[in-house]
Amino acid sequence: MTMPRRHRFRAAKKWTIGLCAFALLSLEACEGQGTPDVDTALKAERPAAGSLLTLQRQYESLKRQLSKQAPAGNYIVVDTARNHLYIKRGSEILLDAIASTGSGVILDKPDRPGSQWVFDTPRGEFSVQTRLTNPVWIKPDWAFLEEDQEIPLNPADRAEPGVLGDYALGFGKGYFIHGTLYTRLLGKNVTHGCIRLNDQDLLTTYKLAKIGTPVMIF
Amino acid sequence: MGSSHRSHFLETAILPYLKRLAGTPRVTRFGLFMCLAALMVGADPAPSPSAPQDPAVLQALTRTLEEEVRLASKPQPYLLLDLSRPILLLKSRGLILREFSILHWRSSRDPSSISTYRLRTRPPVSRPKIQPGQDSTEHPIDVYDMPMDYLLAFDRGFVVEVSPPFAERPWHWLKRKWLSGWSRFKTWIGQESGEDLPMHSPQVNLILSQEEAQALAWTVTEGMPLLIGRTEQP
Repeated sequence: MTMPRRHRFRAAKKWTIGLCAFALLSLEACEGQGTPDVDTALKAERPAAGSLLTLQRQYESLKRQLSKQAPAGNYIVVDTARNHLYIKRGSEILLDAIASTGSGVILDKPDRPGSQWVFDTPRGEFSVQTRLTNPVWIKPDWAFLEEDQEIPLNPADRAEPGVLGDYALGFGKGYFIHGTLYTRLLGKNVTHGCIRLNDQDLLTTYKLAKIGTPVMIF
Repeated sequence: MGSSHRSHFLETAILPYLKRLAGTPRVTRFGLFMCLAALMVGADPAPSPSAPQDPAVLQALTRTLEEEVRLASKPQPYLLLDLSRPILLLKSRGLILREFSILHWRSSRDPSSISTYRLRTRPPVSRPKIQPGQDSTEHPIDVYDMPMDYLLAFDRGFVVEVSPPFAERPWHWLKRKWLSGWSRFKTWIGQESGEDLPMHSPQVNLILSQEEAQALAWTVTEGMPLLIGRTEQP
């Protein structure tokens, strides 16, 4: 036996009202959660009146906003003053490694007067862009100048295998985290900008850091 | 409301309404369930018991957090100076990368002001230059080559002075105090005479240990933001 027409109309009306209420409440629930526009999210959180409870709610909401900015997974922190590399997840330290970072010295470019190489490890936030195994060092011009050698015309003559260790992680602009033959110099500012680790720490770093892992250097 | 009143209210108001609403039971019960589910999802959690209770402190913390959320949304380290604790933090993405302990401080700025500035230049350091054939590892620079007393010049004329404590560098401390006092005197004379002198005297003076001062000089970079505000005690 089918439902009379007027009953079907009433059922449809109640169904529509229920769905609309659900949609409106869901929209309110989603507001402020992971919105990409920080300014919009902050404006949405601003309270209308300054009661203590309102202030506390706003405070807690902003704390949640701030915590969402932190990397969700592993991230690398490099302290160039102390020459340490850390891999962390939240506040947990997964690896604390002695490293070598940039020496900060200057070398003039012979073909461009007034221009020079500055061997600093770059500061700021980067991300792992490449992960290499058995990397081969393609020597740049300064490496030949430092050894007072002629810069080769043949690109193949720039290749020097076995000096970067078993792995290399690139984080942009030609800078890498890689191994070293000179482990006695770990803990000092001696590199040309790259970050050097010993073999064991390099292996751990290679395993824990993936493409896109943040690298924070200060 | 006593239990007898509650049951009367239930019988006279709620139950008849529910019976009317249940005219088409399957559809309406589903709609009610979805509405209740949405309400539970959307409800704000109550503030945690550890949330600050002082409205003035809460206001300062909140305003600082608002600024910090903006800074943390960008891939850049920033400094957070809290003179109430006192502490200077190097942060990125809301994470603390390094803490600098402040031994003493003095400030002429409005303590309730929450502001962000950008560093214009790093403290200077003498970089060794190598010649072709020279080993770059022989004379590198490290944190101990950085100055231990310097001025950090930010935009909008904001200046922070960093210097060591008296015990570590007594003569240097006295000289800095004298120069700082003379600079403030000149500024006061200029204000009294109605002159519009540029603000070169530091608005904040930080006393850091030699090691911390050098580490800070090493750490800061041009354009690095400095947020002065209030943070919660850990």
